[in-house]
Amino acid sequence: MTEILSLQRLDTDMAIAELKSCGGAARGFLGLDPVTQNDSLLAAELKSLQAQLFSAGETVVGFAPNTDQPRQAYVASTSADPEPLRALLEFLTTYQRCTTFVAMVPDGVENCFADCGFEQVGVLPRHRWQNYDWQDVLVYVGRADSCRS
Amino acid sequence: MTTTETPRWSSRPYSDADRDAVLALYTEPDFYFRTGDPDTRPEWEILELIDEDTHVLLADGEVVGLYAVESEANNACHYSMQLRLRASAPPAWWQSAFGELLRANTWRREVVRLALRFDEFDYRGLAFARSAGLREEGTLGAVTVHEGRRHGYVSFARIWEPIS
Amino acid sequence: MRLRGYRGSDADLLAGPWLPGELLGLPLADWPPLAAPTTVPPPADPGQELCIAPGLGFVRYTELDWVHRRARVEIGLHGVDGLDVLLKTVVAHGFLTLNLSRIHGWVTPLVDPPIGLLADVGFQREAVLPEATWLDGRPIDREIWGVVRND
Repeated sequence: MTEILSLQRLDTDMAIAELKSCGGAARGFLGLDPVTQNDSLLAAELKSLQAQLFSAGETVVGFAPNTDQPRQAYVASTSADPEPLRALLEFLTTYQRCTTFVAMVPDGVENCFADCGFEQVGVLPRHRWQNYDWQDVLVYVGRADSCRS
Repeated sequence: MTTTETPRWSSRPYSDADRDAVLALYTEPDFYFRTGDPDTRPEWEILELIDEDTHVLLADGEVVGLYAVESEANNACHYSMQLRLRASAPPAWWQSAFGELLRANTWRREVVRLALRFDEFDYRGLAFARSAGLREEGTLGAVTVHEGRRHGYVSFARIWEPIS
Repeated sequence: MRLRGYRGSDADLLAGPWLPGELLGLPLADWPPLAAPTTVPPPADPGQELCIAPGLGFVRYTELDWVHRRARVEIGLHGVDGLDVLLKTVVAHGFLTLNLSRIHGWVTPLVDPPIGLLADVGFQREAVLPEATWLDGRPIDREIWGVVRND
């Protein structure tokens, strides 16, 4: 079994700072956009989502619970490297008892979800506006029993 | 109303509009909802027993009892329930109300364990629990004084197989 | 039909026996009598647009995003009459009054919503999410349906 990357929990101020430092890679992270949203709006959104963010090396990963189904979480990563996401999934499975994960990722951005066993289950057309154009969002779903390392 | 026919059940969170009806329930000497001495308690003390989890239970639109369901542990699907009907409610009403409460509480969430407990001197509560198919888990002795004697409480639970 | 703004006297319309967040929140016949009804808060800030469909229920445009010009819609109805007209009005209000580019919402197949009426006003099924909500003792699937303004 490969060693799991360690996660460092980020408080809200630190989470916002880390997301902003990721630049374009953080656009669309749990639906947030640190380019168009200021710190107070990002903080309000994180609170509204009940999101928790972590750093894993240079990557920020995070989740927001599906309040309608506590065994499901929305997940996001600022990196196409699968290891930080695997560490997050391991955490969610072990400590939050999550059984399914949902990711919504802007189309055209390299991501790690397929590498982590996620399956694409849909496309939200013209869900975002970025760089003077509409952008689709891809919807992925992963299951705890097939997504962990 | 003392009919044994199953009434039409409804409920709502306690509000000030229910104050008189709830105080009337506590005039009964065995309305053991969070107290072993209901009819001797003053109004302020009764109102302190009623929290945001407390619902009034209505049979055919009339307040006949109280219940509360509380989460016992995050993520564990473990809940506790307190349920009390007025003295004139027949045993069939307890079973009927409990059945509807089970259905309501598993409607939008997973429940793995539902715990109830009744004082040793609460004969109606114990009779209901023992006839409702609940698992009797034991007695914690001498936790309260009632009419000059020490009594314990008896723990009951229903446990479901986790599905998620 | 024209949607109108919410008033305090409409408060009774904001609760009912439908799934939370449902695009087509229709009363579920087998909703347990002691289960709490689903409720939405009255509108109190610009983050949502809650309108009343007279005689029917409410239409709530939530998660409003003016950068991406989109909203998630949830509807809570106390009856089903005139649903086709209401859905046309919901789309028109979103695109023309609010000037949105896209509206979307949750659809739960298990409760057998009239998805043909959604398709009639341009909605399409965009994603299927397994185990996305909980009903009647088990997790159930949910779908995202959306419609995009073409102009």
